[in-house]
Amino acid sequence: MPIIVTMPALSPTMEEGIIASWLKNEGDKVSDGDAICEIATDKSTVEFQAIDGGFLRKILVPAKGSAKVNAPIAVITETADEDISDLKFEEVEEEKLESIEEKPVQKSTAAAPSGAGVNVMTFSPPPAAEKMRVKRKSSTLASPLAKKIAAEKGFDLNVVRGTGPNGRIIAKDLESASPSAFVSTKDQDYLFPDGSFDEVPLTPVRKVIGERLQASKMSIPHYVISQDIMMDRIMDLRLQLKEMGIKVTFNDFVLKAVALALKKHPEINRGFDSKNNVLIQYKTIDISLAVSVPDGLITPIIWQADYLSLQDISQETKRLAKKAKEGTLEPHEYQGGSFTISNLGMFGVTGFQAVINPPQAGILAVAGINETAISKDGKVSTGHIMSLSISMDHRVIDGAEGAKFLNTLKHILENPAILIL
Amino acid sequence: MREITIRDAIREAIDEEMTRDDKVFLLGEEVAQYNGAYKISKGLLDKYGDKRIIDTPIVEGGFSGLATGAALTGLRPIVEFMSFNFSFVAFDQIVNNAMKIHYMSGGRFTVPIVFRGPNGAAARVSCQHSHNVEPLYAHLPGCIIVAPSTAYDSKGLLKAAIRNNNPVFFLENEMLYNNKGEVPDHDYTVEIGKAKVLNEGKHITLISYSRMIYYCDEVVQEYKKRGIEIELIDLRTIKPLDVGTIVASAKKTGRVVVVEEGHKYAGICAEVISVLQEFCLDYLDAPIKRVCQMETPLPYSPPLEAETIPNTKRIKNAIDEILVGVK
Repeated sequence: MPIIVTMPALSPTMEEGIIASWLKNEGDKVSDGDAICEIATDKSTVEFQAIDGGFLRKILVPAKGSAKVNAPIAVITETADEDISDLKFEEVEEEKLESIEEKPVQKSTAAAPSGAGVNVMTFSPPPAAEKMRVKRKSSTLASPLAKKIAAEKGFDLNVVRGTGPNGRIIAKDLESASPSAFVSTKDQDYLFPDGSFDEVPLTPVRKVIGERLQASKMSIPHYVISQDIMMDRIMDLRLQLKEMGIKVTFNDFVLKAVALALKKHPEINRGFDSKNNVLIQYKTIDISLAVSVPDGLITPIIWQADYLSLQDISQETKRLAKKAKEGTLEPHEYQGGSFTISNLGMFGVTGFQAVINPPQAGILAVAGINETAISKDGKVSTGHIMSLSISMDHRVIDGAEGAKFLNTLKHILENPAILIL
Repeated sequence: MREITIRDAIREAIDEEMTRDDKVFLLGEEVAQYNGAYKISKGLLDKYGDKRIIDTPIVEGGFSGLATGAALTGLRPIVEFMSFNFSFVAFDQIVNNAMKIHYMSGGRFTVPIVFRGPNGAAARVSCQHSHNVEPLYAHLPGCIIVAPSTAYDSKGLLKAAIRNNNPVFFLENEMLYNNKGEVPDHDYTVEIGKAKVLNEGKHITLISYSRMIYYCDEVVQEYKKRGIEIELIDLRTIKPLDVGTIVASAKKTGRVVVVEEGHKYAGICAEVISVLQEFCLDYLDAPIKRVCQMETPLPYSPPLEAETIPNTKRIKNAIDEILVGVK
């Protein structure tokens, strides 16, 4: 009995999909769960897994071809030689996959190596995002009194700048005869109806965060590698220290471990100067620690962390975090750094990806410690794991280096005696 | 001029009207032998005897109906509710009889009756004993509602209420009983249906009544130091509304904030604002704001109570929101 494989609906809005590539050939054996092809939609390209095992007998829609949702794309049979000659399908028109990839607004200005339509990387900061504003249907906002006065005196409210709530023209705006008040309101057109939102001016902190992280996320080719760390030994060590009256946080352990791992992998302790397009090799290990402060965050630095004992790190971190919360950090305490740690573990998150803090080339995202079932040698037990994710600047560090660094970090954290040597 | 408390002003009004007109009498729970739960009727039993100062059982529906019947026969009863919250038990007598008989009888009967007692939040008596009843009664035709904030107005309005031939709700406030104010020795009344401009100003109009007047006045004095002149209006009578006074002020300032101790939805603020926009839309330079009790039963907890009923912080926020661009 032949099985007809149909184009799946990969999103609620998907009407049509394109076969990006076939991962199996006609005649190949297919087990349930095997990826048989890649399907591109307007949103993404995903692998399509076979639900039924058997043999891929016929590909009805070739690579780069498109099919409507639920239209047949292939035939699978239970045996390799089952007769499928009775099956009849309509011809499927071919469509070039490139037609989707040409959609990005900005066309590439130089030939990209793979022919894919990616934008050529620029090292200069990207342009500011478009303002979320469109023309407003309603007329200029003015109070009833302002409208009355304007009608009496023959003012054109469209050229008066309103100073009332929501930019509403109020009577006082019409009292001043100064021409400076009579400016065009064209640039004050909003996407949303007036009164349905407030505009909150950026605080200086938010402005800096916005500029830096937008530039980082848009210009740095991020990639992320994650690793689960068994935390039971660290938890045990922390308990032992606590019983001795020494209080050390998990963050202190991680910070010390990162310092030691960076010492072993200096190729991670790097940055990128995007003005001059050169790599920066930091000579010292100075770890920036993201600290949440009201309405923003700041990254005070543990200088030369590889030379500090666990207790030194603990004290210094506490001191800096306190100053950060009080807003009394000196510039020399937060400017610089060679690598950043962002820790959301206190919120119990299972994992996250951090945005690189330029000009540094790497940032470590530390998740919470969660008890979980762990399978080892066919036996299931419980233990505590913590997920670490490093975001790396691919211009500086390749995946293999990042993975090795993460493995060193794992080794240190799972053998925490190293941390107190 | 001598200064007396609102408590004494109310007693003087009852005393003087009972002397002036022997048809006037007072009835309610604990008004006679105990001298009143809030000592409003102190000494009146000794002076007028138990035919005119009458202790009733705890049956609001009964004595409100009894008073209505007495009014129909030509007497002028003053019904004291220990708290206006208890008037809910007498709702049918008040609404269907006292407030309707003049109409239902084609004008042949009048019902000269005063329902009086403390209204609104006191201090930590929780939601069942903190109602502001004025919007409930104001909604229905056939009554007058007054809610004075000073000793002078309390005495003058109560005397006017007793002399009025309609059911009048005279709303007192427990928190104000000890407030002192100037009250003349001579006989006077305050005209029902007239608001009073307590402070003249040109930047914004603040309208309120009863206890909230004191919160508003605090804000007025504070803003005065900053050069912002607030026109403060005490409505004094809630129904009928003094449309002329509030409209004139709104036209002058173009900005209005209305403050009400009771809840926001379908409250007195809603009525005042509706009237204002109807009569002076083209004079308004900003939306009219209202500051009311939060939309929740009044909590017992002191901090929550203070945040739930209007306070000076919320009044100032409302003013600041519509003063943008002016000062």
